[in-house]
Amino acid sequence: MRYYGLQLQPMQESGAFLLRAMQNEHMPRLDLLVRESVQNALDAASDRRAGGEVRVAFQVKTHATGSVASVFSDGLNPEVLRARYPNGGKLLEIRDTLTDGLTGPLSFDDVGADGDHGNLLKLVFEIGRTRSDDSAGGSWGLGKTCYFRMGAGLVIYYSRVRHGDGYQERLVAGLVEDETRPDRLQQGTRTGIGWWGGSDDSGPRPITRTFEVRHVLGMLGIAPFADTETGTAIIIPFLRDDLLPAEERDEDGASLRSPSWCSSYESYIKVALARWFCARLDNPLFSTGPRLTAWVNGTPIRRRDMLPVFQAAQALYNRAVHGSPGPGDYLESVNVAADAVLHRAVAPRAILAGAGPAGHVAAALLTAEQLGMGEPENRPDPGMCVFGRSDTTPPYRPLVTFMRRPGMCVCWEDSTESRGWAGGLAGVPDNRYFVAVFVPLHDRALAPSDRRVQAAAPVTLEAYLRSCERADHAAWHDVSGYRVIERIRSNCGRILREFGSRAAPATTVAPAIRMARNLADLVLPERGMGMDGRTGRPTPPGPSPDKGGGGRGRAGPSTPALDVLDVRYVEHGMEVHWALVWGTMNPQAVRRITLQVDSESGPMAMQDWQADGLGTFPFRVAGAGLEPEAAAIVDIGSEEQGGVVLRLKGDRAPVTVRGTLKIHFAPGAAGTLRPLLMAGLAESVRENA
Amino acid sequence: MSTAVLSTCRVLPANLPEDFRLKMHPVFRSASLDPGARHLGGGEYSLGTDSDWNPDLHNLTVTCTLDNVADLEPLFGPGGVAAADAVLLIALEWTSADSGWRRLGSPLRLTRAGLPATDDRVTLSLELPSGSVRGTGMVAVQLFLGEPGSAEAGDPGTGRQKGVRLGALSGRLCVVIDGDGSLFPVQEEELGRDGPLWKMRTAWDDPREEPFASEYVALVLNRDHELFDQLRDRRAGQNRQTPLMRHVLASWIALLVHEVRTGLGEDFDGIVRRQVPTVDFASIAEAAAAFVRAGDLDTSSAHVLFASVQQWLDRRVRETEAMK
Repeated sequence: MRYYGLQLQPMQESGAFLLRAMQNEHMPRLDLLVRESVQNALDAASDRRAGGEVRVAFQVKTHATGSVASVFSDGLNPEVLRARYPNGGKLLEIRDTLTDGLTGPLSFDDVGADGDHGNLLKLVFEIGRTRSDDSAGGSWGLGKTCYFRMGAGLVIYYSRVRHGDGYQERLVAGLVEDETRPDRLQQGTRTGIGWWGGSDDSGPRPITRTFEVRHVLGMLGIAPFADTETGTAIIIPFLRDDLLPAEERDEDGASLRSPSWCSSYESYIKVALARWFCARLDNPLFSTGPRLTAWVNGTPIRRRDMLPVFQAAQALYNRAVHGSPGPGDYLESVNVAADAVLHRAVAPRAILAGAGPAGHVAAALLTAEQLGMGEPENRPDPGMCVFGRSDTTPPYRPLVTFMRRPGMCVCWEDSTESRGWAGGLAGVPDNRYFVAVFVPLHDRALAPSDRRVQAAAPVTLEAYLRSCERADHAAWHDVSGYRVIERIRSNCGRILREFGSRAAPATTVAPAIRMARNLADLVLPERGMGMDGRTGRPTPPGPSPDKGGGGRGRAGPSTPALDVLDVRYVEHGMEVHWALVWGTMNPQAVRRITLQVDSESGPMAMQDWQADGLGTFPFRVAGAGLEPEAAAIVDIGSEEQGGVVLRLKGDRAPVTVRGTLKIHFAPGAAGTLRPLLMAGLAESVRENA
Repeated sequence: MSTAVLSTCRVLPANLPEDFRLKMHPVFRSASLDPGARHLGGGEYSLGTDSDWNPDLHNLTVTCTLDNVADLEPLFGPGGVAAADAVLLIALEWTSADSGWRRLGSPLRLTRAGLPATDDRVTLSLELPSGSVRGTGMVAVQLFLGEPGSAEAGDPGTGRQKGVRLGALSGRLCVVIDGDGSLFPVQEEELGRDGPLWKMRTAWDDPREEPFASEYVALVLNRDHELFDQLRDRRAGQNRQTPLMRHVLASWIALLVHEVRTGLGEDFDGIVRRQVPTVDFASIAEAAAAFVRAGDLDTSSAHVLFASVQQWLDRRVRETEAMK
C-alpha cells in the first residue's frame, strides 16, 4: 500500500498531541477501547429501531511482524519494526456488522455540494469532527484517537458498504505515533501522522479493488465480509502489553489479588463489555435502539454470562425504562424482595419545558448470595467487578450508573458525598449492596427560560447531556450557567438516600444521643453546634450590625387601635363597650370598625361570607353610640349592619373615642363562631390620601 | 388594622379575679427512660439533660398537679361561664406552631357539687407520641363546656354550646424540644467483631460549608467490638466518660483538627483567629477551630496536636468534676 505522510503545517496536530487528546488517563485502556469501538458501531447501526440488532465481535490473536512489514513497506522502517517486535505481536480485530460501514466519499476531493464528509472521512482522516445527530454516542470526535494508543499506533480500517446495487470493500490504514520518539516507525516524518491507501497522487484514499483488499486481509489473517454483510473492522496490530489496569500493590510491595479477568485481554474485554453496555448487551427490551450482540474470540456474551452485578444493572435498566421487570428478570430470578427494589421518577422542578419527570431511577438492595458471591459461583464483589478493587468493609458504598440514549454507562459512581448520585448515602445495612441505574427521558425539552436555549429550536435533554460529556464520555458536567445535571443529580440523590436509609433498621445506627449531649458538654460551646433542646430556646439572632439600630425607635404615625373595655350579654346578642385610639396617621380620614367572623384562615368579612355562599352572616350591628365627650367631635354612622364609620366633625382629632356597639346574633347561626371587631382607616379614604 | 376577638358567651376570666391562675406542678416522663427535663425559669422547660431521650424515638408524658381547683366554684351560676348545674371540663393542651399540631389530654369533669376540696390536688396528664413534637411547644390548662345544664333566666351570657372553649385557666409552660444546644456527632454502629473499635466517618465536600453534624462527620463507635462496653460504662457515673472513651475522644478530635487543617491550610488559621460567634449552624471547620481555641491546641504538627488534645481533655474533665 502506498504511504502518505502528513506534512507539518500551521495549526497542524502532531502524533504526540493526538495520543494525549482523549484527556483520560484514569480509565484502563481496554475499557476506553471497548467503550469507543462499541459506541461507534452502535452509531452506525443499519436499523436504528428498538428490537433490531448490532453485532460486534472482538478477536485477539497473534501475528507475525514480517507480514505487517510487507504490507506497509512503503513508509515504514522495517529495521525499527523488527527491532521493536522481534517475536511478532498481538492483533485485535473489532468487527461490527448489521451496520452501515464506512460510507461516504473516499477522499476530500469527492465531498459533494452537500458537504457531507461521511463516516469514512470522519473516522479515518479527521479529528474533532463528529456525528451530527443528538442520539449519537460521540460528541467530540476525539474518541477515535484511542485506537492509536492501543498498539504501535497503526490502525487498519476495513469496511464493506452498499454501493449502487451492490457492495464495495474499502481498506485504509493510519499511523499516529509520537514524532519525537527516536525509534519511531515512520522514516521521514515531522508530524508522526501518516496513512496507507490506494496509489493515487491526489492524497490518501482507501483501496477499493477487491483483489488488493483481499491481499492485505490475507496477509493480516482477517476474514473478508461475505454475502450481504456490511460493516466495519478495526484492526490494531502490535498491541501494547500494558492495556490492562496496572497491578496494585500494598504498602509492603506485595501484589494485591487481581480479578481473574485480568489474566488476558480476551477475558478482560468480556467483562468490560458488560461493565459499560450492561443495559444494551443481549437485552431485547433495550428501548432506544437495537440491542447489542457481542462475541469475544468467537464466544457470544449473553446476558447470563455477565457478572451478576451487571445482570442486576440490566434488570434495573429495564425497570427504569419500562416500569416493570421483563422476562427472565435477574432480580426476580434471585428472589430479591419487592421492598428491596425501587422504581421512581426523577422530577426536578423548573428545568424542563412542560410537566413530567426528567427520567427514572431504579435501585436494588442485594445480598452477597444474590450477587453470586457465595458457593458455588464465588463471584467477586461488585466493587471488584466495576472498579477492580474490593470494597472490604461494610456498609458497602452505593453503586450508581447512568446513561444517555446509546445505553452506555457514562460512569459508575460510588460516591458517599452529599452531592453524589446517591445523595450522601453512606451504605446500606445488613451487609447488603446497593446498585442503582438512572435513565433520562431523552426527548424531554429543556425549559425555554434558559437564555441560551431561546435562540435555537428546543434543546432536548439528550442533546444537552451529550454536550456535557467530555471526549471520554466518563462524566456529566453542567455547562457553565446551567444547573440541569445538578438538579437531576440532587433529586436522584434524595430518592436514593431515602430508599437506602429507609431500609436501615433502627438498631443498626443509633445516634447515641446521651453520649452526644455529654460529650458536647465536655468539649463544645453550649450552643450553636447542634439543634438540641436541652439548653432551652435558641438564642434569637442578634441585630445585624450593618443595619444600624434605628428601625423601631422612629416609628411612623400611629394607626387606630381598638380595645374592648367590657362586654354585656343580652338575649340573642351582646353589647360591647369599646375604646378606639384615633391614631396620628391621616387624622382627618374616616375610621371604620367592622364586624367580622373569626375563622381558621383569619377574619372573614360579611361580603366574603356572602360571596362564598355561606348563608346569613351570623352577626349584625344592631346599634351604636358614642360617649358624650366623643359625640361632640366625632360623628358615628352605620355601615349596612356590618360595622360603623367614625368621621371628625371639625379639625380637632381626639386621642381616644369611647362608645358602644350592640351586636345581634342570628338565631341558631352563631353556634361556636366568634365575632371579631376590626378597626382601621377606611380604605377609600386611605387610597385618596 | 387592630382587631378584638369576642365570644358569643361569657369566657374567662368571667367572675374570677383578673389574675387568676391554676398553679401547675409539671412532671415530664417517657415510657422507658427519664427524658431529662430541667426547669430553666420563667415557665420554660428543656428536655434531654444527661438523657438518651430523643423526640423521634420516645414519647413524652406531661403530668400536671393542680392545687387550687376548688377556687373555680364561682364559674358555675350567674356571672360565671356556665349554668349552676353545668359540667365543665379541664384538660392539658399542647400547642406547637413548630410542630403544626395541637393535642388535648384526657379531660377532668368538674361540677359545682363535685369540686375537689380546697386542699385536694388534681392531676391532669397529656400523652405526646414519639415523632410528633419538634421545636417548641406550650402546655396550658384549658377550660371547656362539657354539659350546658339548664341556664337560669336573666343570664344570657352563659355558655349553651357543648364543647365551647372558655379560655385558659393557667399560665403557659414552654417546653423546648429543639434548640441550638450543641451535640457531639457520635453514633453507634454494628461494624462487626473484627471491625475497629471506632472510626471517623466523613462526608464533607468543604468543611467550611457542611455543618458539624453526624450526617457529615461522625465519631462512629463499633457496638460489636469487645471493648465497646468500656466506652459507655454506666458505673462511671452521671455525665462522666470512661478512660477509654476519653482517649477515643481525644484521638478523634485530634484527627478532625488535623484533617481540616491539612485541607484548608492557612484558611483554617484565619477561622481559628476569627472569634465571631455564628448565628447559623456551625460548620465543621468552625467546630475544629472551636476545639483549637477552647483547648489552646498546638497544631504545629500532628504528634504535638495529639498530645495537646489529651492534655486539654484531662483539664476539662478535672474542671467539670470540680464543679460537681
